[in-house]
Amino acid sequence: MPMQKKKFQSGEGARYVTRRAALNKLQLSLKDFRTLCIIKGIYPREPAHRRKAQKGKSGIHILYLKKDILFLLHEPMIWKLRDLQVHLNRLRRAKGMHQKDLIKRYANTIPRVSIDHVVKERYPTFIDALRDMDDALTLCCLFSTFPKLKSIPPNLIALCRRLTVEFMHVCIAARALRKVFISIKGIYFQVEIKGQTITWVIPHNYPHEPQKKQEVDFYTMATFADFYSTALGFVNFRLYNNLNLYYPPRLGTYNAEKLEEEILEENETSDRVAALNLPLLKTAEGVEDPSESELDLDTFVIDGDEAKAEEARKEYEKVRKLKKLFEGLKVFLNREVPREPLVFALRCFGAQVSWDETTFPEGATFAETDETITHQIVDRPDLNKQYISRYYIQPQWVFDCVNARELLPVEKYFIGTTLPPHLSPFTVEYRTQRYVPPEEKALTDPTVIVNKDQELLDEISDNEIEDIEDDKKESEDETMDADDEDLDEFDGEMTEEKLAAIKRKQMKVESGTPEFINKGKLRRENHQMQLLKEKMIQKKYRNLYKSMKSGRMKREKEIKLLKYKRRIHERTNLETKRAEIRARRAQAATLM
Amino acid sequence: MKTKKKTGRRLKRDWRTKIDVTDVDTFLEEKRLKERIGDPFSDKKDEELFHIDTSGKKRKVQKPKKSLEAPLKCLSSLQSSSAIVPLSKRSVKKVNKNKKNEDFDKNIKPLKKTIIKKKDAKELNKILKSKVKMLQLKETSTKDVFNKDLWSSYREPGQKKEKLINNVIKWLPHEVLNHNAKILPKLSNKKMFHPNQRTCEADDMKCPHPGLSYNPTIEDHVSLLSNIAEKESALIKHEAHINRVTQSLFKQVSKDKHEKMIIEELTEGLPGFTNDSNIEVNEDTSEFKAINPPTTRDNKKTIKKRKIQRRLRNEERQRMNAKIEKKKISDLYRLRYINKELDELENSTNKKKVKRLQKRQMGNISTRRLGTNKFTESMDTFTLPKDLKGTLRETEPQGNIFKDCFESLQKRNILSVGKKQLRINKKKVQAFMDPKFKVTPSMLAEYNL
Repeated sequence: MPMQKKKFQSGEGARYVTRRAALNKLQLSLKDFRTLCIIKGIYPREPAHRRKAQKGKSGIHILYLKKDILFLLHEPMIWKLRDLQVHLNRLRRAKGMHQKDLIKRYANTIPRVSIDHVVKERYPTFIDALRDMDDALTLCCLFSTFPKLKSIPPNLIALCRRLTVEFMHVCIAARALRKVFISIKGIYFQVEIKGQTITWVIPHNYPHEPQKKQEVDFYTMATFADFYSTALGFVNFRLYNNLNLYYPPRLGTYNAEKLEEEILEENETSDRVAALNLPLLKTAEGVEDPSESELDLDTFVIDGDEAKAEEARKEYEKVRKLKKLFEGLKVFLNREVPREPLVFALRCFGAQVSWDETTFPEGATFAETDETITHQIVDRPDLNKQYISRYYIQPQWVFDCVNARELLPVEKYFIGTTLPPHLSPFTVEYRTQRYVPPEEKALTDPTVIVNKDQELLDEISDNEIEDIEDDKKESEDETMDADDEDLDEFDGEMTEEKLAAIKRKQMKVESGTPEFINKGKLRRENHQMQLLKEKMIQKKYRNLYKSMKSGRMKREKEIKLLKYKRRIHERTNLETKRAEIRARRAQAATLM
Repeated sequence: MKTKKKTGRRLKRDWRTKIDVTDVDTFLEEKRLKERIGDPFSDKKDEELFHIDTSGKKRKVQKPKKSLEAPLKCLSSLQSSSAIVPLSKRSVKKVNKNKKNEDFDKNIKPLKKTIIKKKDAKELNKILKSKVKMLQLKETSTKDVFNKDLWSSYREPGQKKEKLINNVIKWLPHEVLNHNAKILPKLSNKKMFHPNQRTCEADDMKCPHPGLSYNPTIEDHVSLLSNIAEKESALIKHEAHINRVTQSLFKQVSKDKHEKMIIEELTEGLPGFTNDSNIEVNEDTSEFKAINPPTTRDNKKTIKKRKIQRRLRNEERQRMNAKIEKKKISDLYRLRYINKELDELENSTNKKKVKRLQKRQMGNISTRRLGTNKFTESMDTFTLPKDLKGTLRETEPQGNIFKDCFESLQKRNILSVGKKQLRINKKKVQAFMDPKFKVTPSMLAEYNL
């Protein structure tokens, strides 16, 4: 008799296990299992056929892959977790029995579960680790703002603070910041390290709000923070080493006496480091500064696509300029301005920063009375005492400059003025074909200058009035030009023939004539080629192509119409204003 | 003198029984007596017995200095003061005085050195304390010290791939290697099969909507608000639908009315409760009434009708049989087409299969259901136009980043959605009183019961 085939011994039923089964297999408590899964990066799965995966049981159970669980079985951390459980039981018992010496001993010797090797496992390469830093930084930044909470180990909060400050220091040293966005949730930062973009959020500087317990599971998040902080620590170490900096960071003016003064508790950061204002000490002198480093990009292109290469070159040039954006500026922060994000953003581009000593005790390098200060960042409607030698601007200027990648004119950001809108640098423009009014263009592209009516009116003299009518004629001429080109083509052929004839006659070197390109002919040829291409389109795609084309035409038409309307509007506006001025002048003349 | 007895003298026993030792004993006894009493006076000289006292005063007798080497007083009782040396055991092992006691040298000698004066003790204490503190600091600080480069032996861009593989294989345990084979391709030949390995594709940090800016453009802000309004209105519509389908299907009655209805229902037909129904019941009880109408013989089918029906039925059956026969013949002709049809069927099922697979892969990207509770995305944060102040100082932070983080993890299928169990929901422990325990009235009085 053949072996009887039993149900769920192969296929999907054998591939999954429920959480309860996993707990039995691993001999762990649910709490420990959760911790282990988070740290090892093993998540529950949804099977294709739930009924089969649950071995015929109905309902929805939390399922794990059996192979994942078997993988966990080999983890040396499990033994540590069990030891920890035993230790905690002893401590609990000692507490119950009021054995003070035992409590002290057990509390001081709680075994630490080291997860260094897991970091190594989960991020096999450094780039992998960098890619996952988004979450890590957001979580660490958040945890560093927490007060001491019951469900979070106090050590972790201090560690998170330390690591985020260290990471910011690295970004400053590497000049890695690329984008900033102030949202109502918090401040988004994007840095570029080793070609990887890392985006994270820093919460606004407000007191901690107690969370509702039902919303977020603190214990789970603390476990995540534990893992991410370890990963971030090693990433920091590597980044510091790459930049030839000491880790843990040492400040430029390092001396042993001062260090001894500030005896810190474990994982605490000193105020001097947290100020972000002093350069870090380097392990080796004479190493190239990341802001100075230059890359000689190849001017030739390897495989075609010249436009792409050109774009990349332009982007590189922009970034190179961006790195030195605020170089030479001396900025003073007023009391009401959020210090940390601003110092970070300014120092990332080479500015010198200082602040009132009352806001943050250490790290202020110069006083407000310093005459060499170029900008003072203020966020209040008015200031009593103002220096003439500096600009008083609002904090948005800094962030807008970073996003625009150049120093914006300060007029719009002066103290007390209503600010222009703060745009998000993270948006991706999908629809390219749409009407963009010049005002909007000016927001993103500062080279475009919106002609203000006021300016125009100031320049108006009686002679200029006729100019506008000339403009009209010119625009008409332009349309005529296009027709002319078609005629040119005729002449071009003639000249070519003549030249050939002359060449044949006189066989001697002559000064070269510029190559004559017949634009009209070229255009017509291109058009014909296009038509031929269109004919080659397969039948099934033809309708799609047609609709695309018609859509494009429609949008173009719309844009044209809107532009035309705008022109008319501007012109009528101008004319009415001029009429007013004329009337006023006439009145003045009569009065005279 | 007695003659010697010829006996063995090898053992102690031989000596004790057979040899006469009285002469030796008497000699020793005499000596002991002499020791106790001393020599007889007659043998002593006058100078020894008497001395002439010339000074009248008492003289201080100086105590002899105790030497450190002298044996302790407490041990004097153990020492023999007798002139006769006690017989020692012959079997005692001889101790080599020159041989060193290693254990003593090792353990106790250095202790002797540690004994220090009180003066030095204070300073030493200080040093010790500082050392202990340093050690403690070291111990605790090792907790979060990152002092090694995890990825030092890794491939830098431009390095050869083989080197990476060698480096990785060096330290990675075998299980990990197989587990991560998908992440690090070509590391090992054996790959672990992972159905839907990837987690959700949703971005780690959701790109913030431009309308979330603290000082947004009007268009962005309006688009954000309209997005939210759209979602909200959809939600309201859904809620209304659910309400209509469930709650409003049933009539709602107030509590008093409900009670009244129940009482009415229970007392139905009972004498003394209802007046009106009593009369009706009286009228009905007189006659039995069936629900179905009574049958009659008038509708009976005739024989002729039955015969016709039977004939028609037979004819129909014959026709069907003929059809089947015909189909059999036609199927024989169709045999060559059947293969083609089967192919077509297979093709269509295959296509469906591929489609289903694709759908499943698409599903991977989205949030999946991992536990009993379904993930529902919470509403985006927003500010109303009146709350937008336009300056950084006056902006009020909205939303909860911590919650966003948590939900993003849930959205990316990393965490299963669960309901937080509050303490209130835990089982209550029931308390019983020991039956042996007798409660007396005086006890109750004590607790004011």
